[in-house]
Amino acid sequence: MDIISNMGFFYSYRDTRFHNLNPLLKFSVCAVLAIAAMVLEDPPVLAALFVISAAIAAESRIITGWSYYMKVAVWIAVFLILLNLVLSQSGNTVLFEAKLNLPIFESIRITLEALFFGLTISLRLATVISAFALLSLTVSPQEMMRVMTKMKLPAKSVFVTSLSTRFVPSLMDDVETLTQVQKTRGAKLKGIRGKGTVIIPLLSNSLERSVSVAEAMESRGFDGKFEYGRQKSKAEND
Amino acid sequence: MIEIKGLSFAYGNGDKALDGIDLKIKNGEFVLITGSSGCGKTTLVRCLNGLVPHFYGGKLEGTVFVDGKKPAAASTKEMAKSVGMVFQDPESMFVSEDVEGEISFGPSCAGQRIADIDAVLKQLGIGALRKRSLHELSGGEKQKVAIASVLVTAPKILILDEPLSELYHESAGELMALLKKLNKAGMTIILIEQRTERVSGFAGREIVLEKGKIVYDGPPKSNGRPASKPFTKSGDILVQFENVSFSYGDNKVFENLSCDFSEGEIVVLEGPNGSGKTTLLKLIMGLLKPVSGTVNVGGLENAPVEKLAGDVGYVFQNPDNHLFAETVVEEVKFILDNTGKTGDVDKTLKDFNILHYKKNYPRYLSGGEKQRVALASIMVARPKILLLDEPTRGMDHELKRELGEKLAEYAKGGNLVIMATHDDFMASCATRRISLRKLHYNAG
Repeated sequence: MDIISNMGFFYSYRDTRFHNLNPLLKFSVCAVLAIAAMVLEDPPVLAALFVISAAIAAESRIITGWSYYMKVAVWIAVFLILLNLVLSQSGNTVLFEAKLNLPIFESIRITLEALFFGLTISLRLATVISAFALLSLTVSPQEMMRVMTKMKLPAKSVFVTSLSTRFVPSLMDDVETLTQVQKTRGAKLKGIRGKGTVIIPLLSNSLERSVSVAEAMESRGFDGKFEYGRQKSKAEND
Repeated sequence: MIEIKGLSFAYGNGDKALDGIDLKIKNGEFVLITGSSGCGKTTLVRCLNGLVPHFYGGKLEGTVFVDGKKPAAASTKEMAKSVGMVFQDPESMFVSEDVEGEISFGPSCAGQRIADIDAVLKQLGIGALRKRSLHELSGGEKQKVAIASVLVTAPKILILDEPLSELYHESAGELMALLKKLNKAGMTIILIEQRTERVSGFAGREIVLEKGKIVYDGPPKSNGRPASKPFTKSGDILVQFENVSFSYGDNKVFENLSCDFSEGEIVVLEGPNGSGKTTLLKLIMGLLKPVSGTVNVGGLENAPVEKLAGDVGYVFQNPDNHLFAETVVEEVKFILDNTGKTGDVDKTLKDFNILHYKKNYPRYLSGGEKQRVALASIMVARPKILLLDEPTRGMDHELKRELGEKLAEYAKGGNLVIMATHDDFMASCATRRISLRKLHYNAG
């Protein structure tokens, strides 16, 4: 096992009620949460949606991975709130006002309404990101393909998309390993020449890997025609 | 039934890989194919499922019949119904993210419906892995999933290309027992393997290839092992672990590990996949930092890799990860340029029998040759401590024996060699063997 997979950033099966739901239902729950967060404006409702998504994450035992997404959400939220406070001049309840005498910002006026609006859109964004985290951490790419196929998307395109996502963790592992290899050889990984010692084998490995996968796919009978079907286990059949 | 007459093959670049092969393999045989690195073993089996010539192109002469079909004329899809192939690196054949998806890929291609995935997984003792992400699995588990993904289509002939190279003894034994069981049930097994000491007693026939020709075809030959350990001398302590704990997130690998390694030793780290062999090497190299405790390397405590490079050398498991330069000589010189150490590049190339490839592009060499370039690219700086992670991938017995002798000589010169390996042959070169288990440490 490697460091990346231990971070809990990617899908990993856990025996929880939410993980074991039908993938279409999981997809629908996440989609409803995200769409509702984008459409509705009432802060208590948005807060409720966020709490629901967090509760599902807790029940699904994906809090570690979910918190990575939330850290990103917090940074974006802080940026949005600050931006809104500075740029939005509307509102009657002034919290702070000052003359700056700068070319564009002659004065700054921070209002309670701008702060409130910033918090609301941050909550909305956090809920959307939380729903996306739920989707990526509880729906496997294989299940996602089944969902997309049920939604009548072309199976071949779905497969190609899925295949390319499968390489992401391998690529991240490769970057880490190649960096370590060159460090052990005393390489200074600065500048184009330095980084080249990692990038060149990274590209070569990726190309070789894609040829190997193509070879293996052909040896297993892949000829471009592909059908996703739900293969049931004996237990499920029973 | 497999029948090959006058088979010769050259890849598109003109390199002749097979030269006049005549061969018959009856249904239900268990055949072991051996030979030195680059002798044509993999090319031969590619001819059986049609990857040669359909995928690789090249010039094919002679005739091949497999299960009544001509692979050169039939499609690879048609051949996949008769021949299942497990590749050397299971990771390279995965197309899905999870085990279930991987198992169902083959039948999905063939338009088949799988009656019972669980039965296939249970057959390999990996029933609990069904929902797991492939990325999380250990090397041994990946290997079993790769085999399950081929077995699920019930091929008549099963080809495995060096399946034991990443498996610990127990897992390798389990796999061989499974192959024997499949063979008894009537499946033809063709096994390419360098670690022949692990497969003796299973195969009924051995075919040895050399430069694209069959040089032996008969009962399995016995394997040579080093007669005795190279030496048992040990001197000053070079590496010392004191109450070292380490974990990846919540996954604890070591807890209060204490041990030391001295100059003159060749230490072999053994243990199942995921037991922490590579982690231990990386802690010594300064690539990982212990959560608690100290790793003392040559008097430096918990030193980062930047301070140790050159004095400590690390050869990674996959030689491809070492290779980036345009020529072999540049690849080998790289460490000297970076660390300011001196070394005789030509002599090192000669020692590893790759001097004639000096101006070649390293990534175009065979697996065994690439492994030697990777070794040379580190050993040229003559590091006081040499760390090797599975250094014999793609090497035949002769190359392994030579490497064993080199390492013995190297350690005799007052250096320390620590090697993580599943290879019994290399393990027999050790002056000390350490067995690692998850959170258990038994020095022997």
